[in-house]
Amino acid sequence: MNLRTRTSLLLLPVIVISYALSSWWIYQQERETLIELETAKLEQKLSNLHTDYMSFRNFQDAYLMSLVEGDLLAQYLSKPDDIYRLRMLQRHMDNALKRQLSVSKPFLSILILNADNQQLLYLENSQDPFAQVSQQQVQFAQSLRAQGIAKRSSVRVNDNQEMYIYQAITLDESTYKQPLPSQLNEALIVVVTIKPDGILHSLDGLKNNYSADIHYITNAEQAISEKGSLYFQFKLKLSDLDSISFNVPSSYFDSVSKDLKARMVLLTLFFSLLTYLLLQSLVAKFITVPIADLDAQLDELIRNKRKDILVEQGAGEVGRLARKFQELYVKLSNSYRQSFKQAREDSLTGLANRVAFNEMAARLFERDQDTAAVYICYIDIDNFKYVNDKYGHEVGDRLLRAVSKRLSGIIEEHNLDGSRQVAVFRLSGDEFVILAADCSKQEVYDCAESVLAVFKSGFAIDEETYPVTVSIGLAVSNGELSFSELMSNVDLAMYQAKKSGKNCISAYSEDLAQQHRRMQEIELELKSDSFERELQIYYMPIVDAQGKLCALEALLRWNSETLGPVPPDEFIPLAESIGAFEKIDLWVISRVFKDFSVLNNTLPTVNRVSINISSAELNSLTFVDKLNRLAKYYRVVNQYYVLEVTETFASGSNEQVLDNLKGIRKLGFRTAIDDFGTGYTSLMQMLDYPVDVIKFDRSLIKRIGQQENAETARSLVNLCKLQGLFVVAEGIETKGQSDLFNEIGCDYQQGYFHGKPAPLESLQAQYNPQLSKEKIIDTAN
Amino acid sequence: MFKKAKSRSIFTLLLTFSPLCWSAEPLRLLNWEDYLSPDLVEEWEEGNGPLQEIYFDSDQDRDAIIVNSERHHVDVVVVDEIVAQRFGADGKFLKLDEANLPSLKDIEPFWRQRCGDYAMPYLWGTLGIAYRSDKLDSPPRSWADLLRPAEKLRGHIAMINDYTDMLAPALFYLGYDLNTDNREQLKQAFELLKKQASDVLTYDYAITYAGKEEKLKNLYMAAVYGGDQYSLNELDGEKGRWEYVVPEEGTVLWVDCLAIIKESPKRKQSLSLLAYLNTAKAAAENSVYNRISTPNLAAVELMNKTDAKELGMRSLETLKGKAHLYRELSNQNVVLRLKIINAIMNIHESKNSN
Repeated sequence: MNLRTRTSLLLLPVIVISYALSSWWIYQQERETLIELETAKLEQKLSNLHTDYMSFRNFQDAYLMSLVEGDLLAQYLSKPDDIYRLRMLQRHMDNALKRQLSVSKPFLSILILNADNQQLLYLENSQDPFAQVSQQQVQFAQSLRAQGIAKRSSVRVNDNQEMYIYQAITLDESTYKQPLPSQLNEALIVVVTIKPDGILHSLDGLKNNYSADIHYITNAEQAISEKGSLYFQFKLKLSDLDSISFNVPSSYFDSVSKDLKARMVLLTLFFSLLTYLLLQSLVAKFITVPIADLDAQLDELIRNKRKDILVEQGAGEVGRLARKFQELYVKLSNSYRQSFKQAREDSLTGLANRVAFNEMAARLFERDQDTAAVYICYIDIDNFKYVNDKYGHEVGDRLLRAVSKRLSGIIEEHNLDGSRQVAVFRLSGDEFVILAADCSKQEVYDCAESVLAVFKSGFAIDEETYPVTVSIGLAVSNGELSFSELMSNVDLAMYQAKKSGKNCISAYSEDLAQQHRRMQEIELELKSDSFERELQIYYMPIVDAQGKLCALEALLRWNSETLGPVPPDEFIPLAESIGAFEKIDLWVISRVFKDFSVLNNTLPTVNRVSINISSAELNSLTFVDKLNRLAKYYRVVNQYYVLEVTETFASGSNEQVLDNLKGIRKLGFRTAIDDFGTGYTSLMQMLDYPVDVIKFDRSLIKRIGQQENAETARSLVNLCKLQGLFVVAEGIETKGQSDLFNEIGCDYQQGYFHGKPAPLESLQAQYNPQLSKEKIIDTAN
Repeated sequence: MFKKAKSRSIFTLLLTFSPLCWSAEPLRLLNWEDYLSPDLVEEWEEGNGPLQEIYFDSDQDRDAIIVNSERHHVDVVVVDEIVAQRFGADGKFLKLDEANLPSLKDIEPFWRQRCGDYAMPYLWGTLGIAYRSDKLDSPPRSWADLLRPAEKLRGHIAMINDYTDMLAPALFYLGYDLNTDNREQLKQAFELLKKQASDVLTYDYAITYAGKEEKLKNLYMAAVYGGDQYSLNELDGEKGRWEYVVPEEGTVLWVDCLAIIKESPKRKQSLSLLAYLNTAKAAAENSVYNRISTPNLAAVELMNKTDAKELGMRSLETLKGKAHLYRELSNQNVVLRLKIINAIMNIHESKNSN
């Protein structure tokens, strides 16, 4: 129930009851007045009626008087047969009527009886010339004599509801004067009868109007008053003896006041309604509508259809309420906006954060993706950890802020016309993301290039340059990918960029994905139980200057059941990255140590065997111990083995690496730098390390193995040799190469020209055929 | 009209100045208005002293005057034949014979008989219908045309307020005797008149009505005594619009008589007036003046042919077949007829007031 309905329900009964009570009070007052008024009116009407009636009576008196006092009657009575005198009587009657009652000529008659009650004269004024004297007139005349009365008047209403006024006098037969009482018997009786036209009719009208009872009261009967308060009694006096009692039932006044009642009820209803509507509209205007309006506004606010509450002018409670709501809303809204913003903003850099990124991405992905490609550019700062470690977190944070600013700037530059959907986000730590749509692949790529260019020669803040670069991964969805799929793609691309040596852009491609899948498969296999069983050791011959086999390089071969042969340069870096290198290294070392006695016995010319170990082992604290333990376990001659590491260890060069190298040599093992010439380590740097052998990589051999570079090669070899190092040339594939490196003084050579890596058995067969035969015989035995 | 005006002025003159001019009382003649040629009055007065005419306009008024004639000092009266006979028998009038009025010999014997021994025939006529020839498509033929008038004549009818002559048209129409005392027949006549009442403009005699009301324009048809159509035409001012017809059912042959009040102190003068009026010349002149037939045979001799044809005895002969004569009625009959008239008047009044 809303406020408006409730006020309506409260107002209506109060108004109706108030009006009803006052109306009832007024009705009671008015009813009394009305009854008085009605009574007065009725009395007036009856009085008028009485006046009319009396005019007839007066006429009757005057007419009778003129007959008796004048001599017309006497003349006629003296000569009853004289038609002319009769005519004169009639003219007299006619004239009297015309004179006195000019409006209408009522019934008027004169009857004269002699002493024997015989009719001497009967004249009447009527419309019926053939009418006879009525019985009532005769009876009335006779009653006079019978009762010995000299004169009398009476009023009677006959069965036809006609009223007649009778007046009779007695006249002495000879004197025509009033007789003495003793002479009444001989006297003439003159009766004049008049019908007071209209009186009964009027009375009847009144009777109907007032639903009254009419009683004719004769001979001074007492008025019937037993009905008491049920009647209002009025009296109409007709003569001394006769009167009419006009009884109006009190129910008449009820019916009169019924109109009043109806009027009062109507008025009550009308004014109730009027007041109600008025109050309603006032209440509505000043209370309920403003509240409902406020309610509606709040409703719209809640449903985000409006941003503000319009506060009406005025100091009323509703106005104050509205203002307070507005204040409250503004506060809530601000704090909501703030927390909304906070939740989506990186507090350090002011960039939008991961939440915002997810929202925008979701928004873009909700769009019709057939028409709009979504690009993600994943930016990871390389070596940020280094900056953090070296300069402290404060500098790191400053760097992040500066990078954010630059990224924002670049975004703006590439979106000058604002037509693209593009934004930069900081996802975490040193990871940033540019999310873009409504633009071309080239634009995104240009943008990524711009980012890359910023870090071309480190990143400068306040005159200081920090050695950081960025690895950028790029990926696009043309509607075929989900957000998470796109994210994993870009992640892969970024990873690829990192892997490709950082400071570069790598776009996601199907090849990349395939490679990735391959890596995953390899990784899976690396972790499987059967991995070690599938490994095999091949030995690569190493020859001296005379081309005589003098050493072997143990090479790991993996012939996976599921993947087939997997080259070492494919799975070794992976193994390193997942930390499986130690296990592999130890397996290789064990396996080669195991072959020690066989090698010694079967290939006596071989006095060295090289084992490749991961350069990461040089960082290990336990490697040297483990190596020592294995050597002792297999009772090998340590001087027999050379442990090779690639030059990459030099990048992470520290005390541990040196210690380990020294430790290895201390055990009697020799050390070698493998694949020299592939990295960026300078030769001079290499010479500082405690190693015994330098192995020139095949690429280096190719470069310096040309005749015109022969002197450079010679100098390089001499330099090494001057440092007391043995030099091994790898990847010798032709006689020319072999001769050249012999000629310039290279100690050892290896390569397909000298022999391909092969299982031990194959080498034994190749380099010691006799032994093979014996072995066959042994086997036969 | 001028004739009427002239007679009035003379009458007024007589009333106002004669007592001063003449030491003697004038001779008083009780007469209908405009019923005696003023020329004759003038001529008679030259040798006989003043003559005062007293007018009445209803039989009842006249009868009342005659009954109390000693009080009213009336010497000569114009009466109908019934009144002449009745009052004559009652001894009210002077007996007339050829001894005191020798010119009686010139009177047609039928009329002398009608007026009786106490009165001299004066003028005679019929009862008929006067009508506006321009308002009626054709002349009325029956009393029914008067009793049940055509639509356009309703409310334009005049009747005669007289206990015989009001009833006469109804009785003639019903085929009853003019003087009937049969209650049933009278009742039927009453019913007819009662029905007619709403169509009646007036019960005043047409001439009287026209004179006092000047509403002659509204009157199209009236029961009148023969000859009054001329008066109506004069009052109307339009020549010859009013015509007169005797309906086919019958008519009344009436005669007015001159009688001398027996107690009149001017018996000689009265006789002289009667003798003068009955001279052939005076009778002829009066008849032509009134356009009413004279009973004087000698007078007819003096008239030109046209007048003689219209006013002479010949017309009497043509009418006798359907003519009815007044008879003296019983008191009872008179009383009943008076009541009928009174009732009709009451009915008419109540209808008009409604």
